[in-house]
Amino acid sequence: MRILLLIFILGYELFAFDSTIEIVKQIEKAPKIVVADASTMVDQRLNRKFLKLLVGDLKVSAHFDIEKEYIKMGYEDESGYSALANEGKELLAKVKLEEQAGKLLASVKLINLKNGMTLYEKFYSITRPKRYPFLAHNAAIDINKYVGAPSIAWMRKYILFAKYTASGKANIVVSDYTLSFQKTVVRGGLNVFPKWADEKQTSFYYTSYNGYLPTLYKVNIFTGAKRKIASSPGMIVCSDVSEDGRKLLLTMAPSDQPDIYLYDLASGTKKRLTRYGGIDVGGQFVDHDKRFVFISERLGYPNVFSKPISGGSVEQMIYHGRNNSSCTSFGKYIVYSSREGKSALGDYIFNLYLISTQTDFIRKLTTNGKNMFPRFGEDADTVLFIKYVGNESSLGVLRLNENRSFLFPLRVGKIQSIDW
Amino acid sequence: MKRDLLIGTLLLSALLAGCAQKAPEVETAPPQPQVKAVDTGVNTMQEGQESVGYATVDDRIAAISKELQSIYFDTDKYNIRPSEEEKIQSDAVILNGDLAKDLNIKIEGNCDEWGTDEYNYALGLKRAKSVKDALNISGVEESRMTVVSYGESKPVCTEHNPDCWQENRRADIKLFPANL
Repeated sequence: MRILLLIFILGYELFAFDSTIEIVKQIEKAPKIVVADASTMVDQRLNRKFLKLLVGDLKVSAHFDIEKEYIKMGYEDESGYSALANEGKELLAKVKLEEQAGKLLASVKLINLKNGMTLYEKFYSITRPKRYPFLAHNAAIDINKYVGAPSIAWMRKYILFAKYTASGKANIVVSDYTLSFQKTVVRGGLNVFPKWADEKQTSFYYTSYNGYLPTLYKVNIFTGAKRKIASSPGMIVCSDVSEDGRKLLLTMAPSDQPDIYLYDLASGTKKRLTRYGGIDVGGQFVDHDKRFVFISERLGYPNVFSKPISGGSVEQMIYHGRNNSSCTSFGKYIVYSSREGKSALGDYIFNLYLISTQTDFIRKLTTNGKNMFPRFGEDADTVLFIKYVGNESSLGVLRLNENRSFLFPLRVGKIQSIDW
Repeated sequence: MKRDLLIGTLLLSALLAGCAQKAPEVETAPPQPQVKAVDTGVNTMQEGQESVGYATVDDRIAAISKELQSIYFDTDKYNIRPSEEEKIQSDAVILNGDLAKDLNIKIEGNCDEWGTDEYNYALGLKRAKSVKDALNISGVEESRMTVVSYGESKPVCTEHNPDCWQENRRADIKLFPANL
């Protein structure tokens, strides 16, 4: 009986940590929090945007039960605490924004409404007020950290994306994950497939179509320094960067044949990793750079395969769907986009799926529309993707363990690819 | 001068055409002074100058490009479908013609909007490669041709319907001066 009980408990634990099993978080267990606007001397439009972002961040974290709207309350005023506590609220995040000498300052105080005690008070500042979204994201990260919830530090990461602005025109943009902050870093001509060069997000690679041959460049976003890495007839894309940043997985076609190459940045040499006569693209390092997963049409339709970097046999990774043309991996997990027939309007439907390489489970992550270009970030819990509706596109955020997704529409242009 | 050059070129063409005919027709060749003018025109050609009636090489490329036809593809496919084979033949004749034979060729593969990932760019590349191979079989020198894929980035139609998507699943043939 004890053994059976042990097996049951272990089994439950294993399932509880497998993201391929849908977990609907019990919202009752999440702390009930309310955000209060305590600003008096600041641009009210900026103030509203900041508070809306902070409330949104806490919602996207999926670790809080939060009211949609924030309330107004003085920074030192404690008179409303008991009323909020009586409504069942447990935490109060008071925010006071100020502008001083061109800087944007934020004071954030977290209150325990059960006893009125200040749990912590933090001060944030940013020299360029246009970057206020990152200030809001940092405040949310700290509130989340204080309550001991799983990290949402990914919210402070820069998102890189290419956006089509017209036929044959695409710019590279740096943004926050909500697209509230955007700065164009490469403009003019056709510039696509940006990819961060390192964890610190100081440089990125991208493909330029502005010369005779498609060319891969590396750009430092702080100095603007730009360096040519390689060019190729046909196409060249930096699909992934090794953990140490010294090697790249490129899709290129020196003899008009799209294959995956391992490119050594120090020596400038390349090694061809795939040799199938059809299409092999989108290599991504896995297993600490010892293997790579990639998309190939070697079975007659695009699907996900893997192969050791050092050479060896190719292994099929996905046994579901008939058109799986993009994927992302993190540890034992793979998220891929699968085309599944047409909608009533005649549009193809692309859904995202999650699999574990160690189990047979498949979890459907989206249910309608065109969902593509999934990208894991620094953990296995959050996936960014692109959702297209007609000629419009949005940046999607999937919170796997919390079983939630959020969309942030791009107002102008159409997203081509993303990285973060 | 350009007018003289054009007239001279046409006369030279007529003369050369005449040489290929029977002897009596050669005797009906234009009077000597006109032939001399033709010779003068040809001999005074400068490098990089257009010889066939176009002010610039760009003008000549624009005129030839109007005659070239795009090759269209089925969804997800990169093989040349039978309906496009005649266009390949027609394009090959133009590309090997006197007007175009000194120009380099870039074949641009394109896709519809149903993909934005690397696979879509690779699909466009395979389409361009299929056209390159077919042109090569039809006599166009391989060394003149390069391929490039623009994926879904260069739509010629932006409406959201199957006819429009078909227009975008194509390979375009572009010409460039050989020294580029």
